[in-house]
Amino acid sequence: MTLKISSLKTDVMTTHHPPTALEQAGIVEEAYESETLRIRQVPGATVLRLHTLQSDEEIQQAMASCGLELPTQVNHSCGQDPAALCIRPGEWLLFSEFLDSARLLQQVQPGVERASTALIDASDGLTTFRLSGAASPWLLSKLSCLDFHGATAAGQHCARTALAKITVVIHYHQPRNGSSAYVFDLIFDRSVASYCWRVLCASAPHAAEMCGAAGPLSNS
Amino acid sequence: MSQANSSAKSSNKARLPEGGRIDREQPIDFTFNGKPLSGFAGDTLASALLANEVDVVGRSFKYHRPRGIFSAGEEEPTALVEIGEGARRQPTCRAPMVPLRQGLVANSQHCWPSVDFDIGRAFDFSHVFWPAGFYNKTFKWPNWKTWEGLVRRSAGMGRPLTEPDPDHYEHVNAHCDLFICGGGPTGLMAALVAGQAGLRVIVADQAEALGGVLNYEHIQIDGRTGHDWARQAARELKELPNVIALPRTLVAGNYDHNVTTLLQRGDPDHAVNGSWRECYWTVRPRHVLLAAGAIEQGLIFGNNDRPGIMLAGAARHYLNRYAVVPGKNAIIATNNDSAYQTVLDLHRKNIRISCVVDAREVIDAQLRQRVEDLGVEIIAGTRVSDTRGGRKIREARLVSGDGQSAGSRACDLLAVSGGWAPRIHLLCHARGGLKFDTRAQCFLPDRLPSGFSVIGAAAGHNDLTTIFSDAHAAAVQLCWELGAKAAPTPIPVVTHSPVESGRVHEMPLLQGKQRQWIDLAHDVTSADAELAVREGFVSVEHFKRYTTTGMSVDQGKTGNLNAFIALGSLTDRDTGSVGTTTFRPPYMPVTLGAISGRSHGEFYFPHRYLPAHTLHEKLKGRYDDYGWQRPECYPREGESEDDAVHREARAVRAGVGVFDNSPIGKIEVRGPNAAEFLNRIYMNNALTLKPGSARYGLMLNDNGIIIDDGVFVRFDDFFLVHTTSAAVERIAAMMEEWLQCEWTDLKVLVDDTTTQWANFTIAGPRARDVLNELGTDIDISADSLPHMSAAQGSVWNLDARIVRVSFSGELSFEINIPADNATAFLQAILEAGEAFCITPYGIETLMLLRTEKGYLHVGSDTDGTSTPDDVGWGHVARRKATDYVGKRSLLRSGARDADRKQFVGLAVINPKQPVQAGGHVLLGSYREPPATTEGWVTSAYYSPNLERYIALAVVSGGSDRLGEIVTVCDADQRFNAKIVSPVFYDPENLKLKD
Repeated sequence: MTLKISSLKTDVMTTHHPPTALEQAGIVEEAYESETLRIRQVPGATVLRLHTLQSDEEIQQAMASCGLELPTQVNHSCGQDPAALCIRPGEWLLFSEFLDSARLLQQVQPGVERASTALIDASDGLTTFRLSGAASPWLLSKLSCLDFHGATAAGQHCARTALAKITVVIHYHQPRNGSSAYVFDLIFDRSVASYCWRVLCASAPHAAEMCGAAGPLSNS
Repeated sequence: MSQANSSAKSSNKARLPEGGRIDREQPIDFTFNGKPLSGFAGDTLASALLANEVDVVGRSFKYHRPRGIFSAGEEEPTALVEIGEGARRQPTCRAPMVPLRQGLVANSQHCWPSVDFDIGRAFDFSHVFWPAGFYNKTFKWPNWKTWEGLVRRSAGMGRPLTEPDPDHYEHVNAHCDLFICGGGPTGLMAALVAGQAGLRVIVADQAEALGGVLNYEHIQIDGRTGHDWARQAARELKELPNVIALPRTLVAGNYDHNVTTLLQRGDPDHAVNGSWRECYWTVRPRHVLLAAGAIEQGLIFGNNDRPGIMLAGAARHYLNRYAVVPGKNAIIATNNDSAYQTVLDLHRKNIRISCVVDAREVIDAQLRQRVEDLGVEIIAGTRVSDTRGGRKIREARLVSGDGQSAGSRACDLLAVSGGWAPRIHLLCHARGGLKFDTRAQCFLPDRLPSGFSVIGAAAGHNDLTTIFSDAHAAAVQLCWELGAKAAPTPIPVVTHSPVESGRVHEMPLLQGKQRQWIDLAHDVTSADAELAVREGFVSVEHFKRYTTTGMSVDQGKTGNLNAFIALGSLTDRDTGSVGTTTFRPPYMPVTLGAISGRSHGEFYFPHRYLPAHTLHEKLKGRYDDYGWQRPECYPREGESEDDAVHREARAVRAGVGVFDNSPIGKIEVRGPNAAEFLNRIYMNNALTLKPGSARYGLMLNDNGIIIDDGVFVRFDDFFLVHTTSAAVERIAAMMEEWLQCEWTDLKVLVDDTTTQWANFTIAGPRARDVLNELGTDIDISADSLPHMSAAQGSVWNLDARIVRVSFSGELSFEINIPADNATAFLQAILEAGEAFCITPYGIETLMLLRTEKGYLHVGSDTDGTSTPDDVGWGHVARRKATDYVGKRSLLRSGARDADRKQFVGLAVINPKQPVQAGGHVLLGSYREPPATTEGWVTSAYYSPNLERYIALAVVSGGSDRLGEIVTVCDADQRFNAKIVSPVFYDPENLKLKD
């Protein structure tokens, strides 16, 4: 049998945007929705990794000159879009749903001192799922041991942690889409996107059930 | 009245016509040992069996004696049954804990041919031959193996399942300020106070409904029944958004930092509606409040295990909650006051009470008067010495305090009470201390760990008014400690409560020949205890292990205390000096499926997919897990996997192939000291590497052992470190550790960018042609981009990094492009290569190609002992003057031993002789085992290009033994091979110079 290369053309190649991590893994669903929970992939999100040897003051000043505010406390985040998430001392993720990586790089690059700072476009390597709705803390609580119910009282912040055996950065924030509701963004390695999607969807019904039966478990 | 309802009523001969908290409008049919029976909604299996006058529920563990229902809770030591059928069969369920549901199938276990006639009873008739520890003494001749099968068939409880579990289980993590173990009056009171103060509270109780004793005792609180008060409290808790109340939830264990695990039971009809069966909670509270109540203890006397002998509290429970009459002619035997409540309750329901046998000489006068006014005889200073009966007790023999016979009484129910032992198991899990209380004859909490309190009956209180005020005070105090202000919650006023236990009389073992059970669940008798003491097992831990008391499924919940009292009595010590064994988690058995949760099947571990996964699927790649889901090869129709690998290997050698190498590690290292850092990390020199060049390197650990290899590339302002795909996270973490802990002076940044870049390798003599066809602005000629060089630019109009390295031994370009474009780019490569008959090849093909070339694969050709010398890189290690990780260890004499296993090739003498990895290498020709192995085959393939089998191996002193003939011992085959250089293909590296 001779291989016909032309017969292999994929649907995704004919679309305008590059395929998402889920599409590349062969998953066609775009969102999971129930009364209290919505899970969706944020397509084309830009994630830059800013990693520096400079002091907090130096890098803050440098980024301020580019119009970007950096939090200096680990697990804190600031800004809506782009948002800056401090995930460990000297390392931030710059996240944008609306700016492409070229735009964001263009904005930030002038402040980067190449000898001591790495500004790496991680948009292709990472994928983002967004969880919204009252059951989302319950869903995360099923898969990770952080206090997501308490987290909802603490406002915008972030954490790098293990969730269902994968490493994720969880960002609790208010998205810039006119909604006043806070959401959880999960930012993680694209290679496990289909695993993460399946485990979230499989766990979602019980999370919704818990939300209905037990309530929010929050003292906010 | 419906026909079904009528039928249920008629079959429930031991059911009172009214009363109880069952729904008589909802009859439920079930079977027990194949016999159709009926009960009502709200029943447990135990209450329904009692209502149907089923006396013998199971057989005992060792002697196969008939056993009935002893308790009304999780402490049940005797009524252990199998529930369900097929894959949902559940062995060793406690009948009082099984909610009755329509169609329930229950069977006795541990008996043959039936529970009514069990052959195993022969062990009872010959019991003198089976004392404690008999198997340690008896089965030595000729050896244990001879007997093991017989003993194992006879022992054990229940039949294990053989089919996969069809149910699914859930997990939840939760944080709270206060976790309350127990939803009885104490727990409810504390939860109300803390919840109303705004603390985040979780309260769990394993009963079907919160309330504990309030659900079956005659109690009046604030002018209503205890049951109504509990329901109202549960409703109020449900209204509080910061409180989670979990009935049907076992508190299984408490671990470091107060991590507490719970097992929540799901809908009993989960099999029908597809919902979860159990949910495993991991709770991380700031404070744990133990309000778990207490467990009534039995009494030790002759034949105290007969059906019809039941805890006094349990008799009350069945009577009040389920309107079940556990017997028509009762004797109450006790050493404390609480059993008198059973007298009062039985009398209220007009059940005949033969007498009360109280071991105490002095009984509270008011209580005595109250009972005697009902016409019930109290025989003080007397104990039950023995019982008579077959399938049910029919007579109790009494003995006075001085050992004289006090006659006998007929009965069909002997309700016993030996005092109450607090449920302090969770405190023991938390490593809290206990002390023996002589008044209550039980162990009470003593030393409390940080963040842990005990209240209510679990702390030794048994007066309901005290319990409520104790719970209220503890909760208010905790609110203050945890940063909340307690709301003014009123303390309930108790106007009627059950009789308290008062002072508990000490009960030494009875003298005599009668068999007295101290542990019903494990069939441990006083004779076993005496034997243990005779043989010197007087330490409580030794005593427990010798007699196995407290080691059955109930973990001694009704037996341990009596066992320790018996041990004290036999060794002339008070029980406090005897001490107690340690309760360890879980409190009750936890289903393995619940612990596992969803961590099985597709969720057992995260499957990682290539960025061009869908295209590989269209190419019919055959997948396997290599840390990532990767195609081994791409079999065509009718091709075997071997055929496909051979075809692909021939295509790469003769033309061109493309390989998806995206998982390869891509760690970017930058900063002023990046070169110095890598020079220390790698055994190979990184300082001399020029920008645009690549170098192969070995990474060692502190012991000089190879942990990874790969190519590192220097670009203008950073290094790109390629690690093996499975090791990238580990190596990145190791680099961080060196930077953060040891070499803090180095200014270096390490970033793992593995998934940012897809990587495709175009390999073969026509590789350059394909790349040119694809289009690139990088000069890829052999002069500009020779072997072991790298360049950045664009390929197919994408940002790209090209590294000219080869793991196949052919001209090869590794092209890194942004991962979003992986699918389209692979498609473009295939189209560009169509004119050159490009062939996609998989990882098994790559392994064959690298074996032909003699390239090392870390993990296959190395193990936890391999050093650079062993794999032929010793000369590089010795040449490097500067320090690097593992250098010092390479100087040890052992690392330079000439007999170390060294990396060589094996040329099988008969080229058609199949050889497999794992075969042992023996010295000389045709040696038969046993023989000392000289090494083993690490990689082996049939080479379609060389048309023979080839192998790589590690052989003792191998590098000095080239040309030597050895025997390969491969399963049942022996064949000769010659030790040769590992490089079978293109030893002059001519292909790489193209």
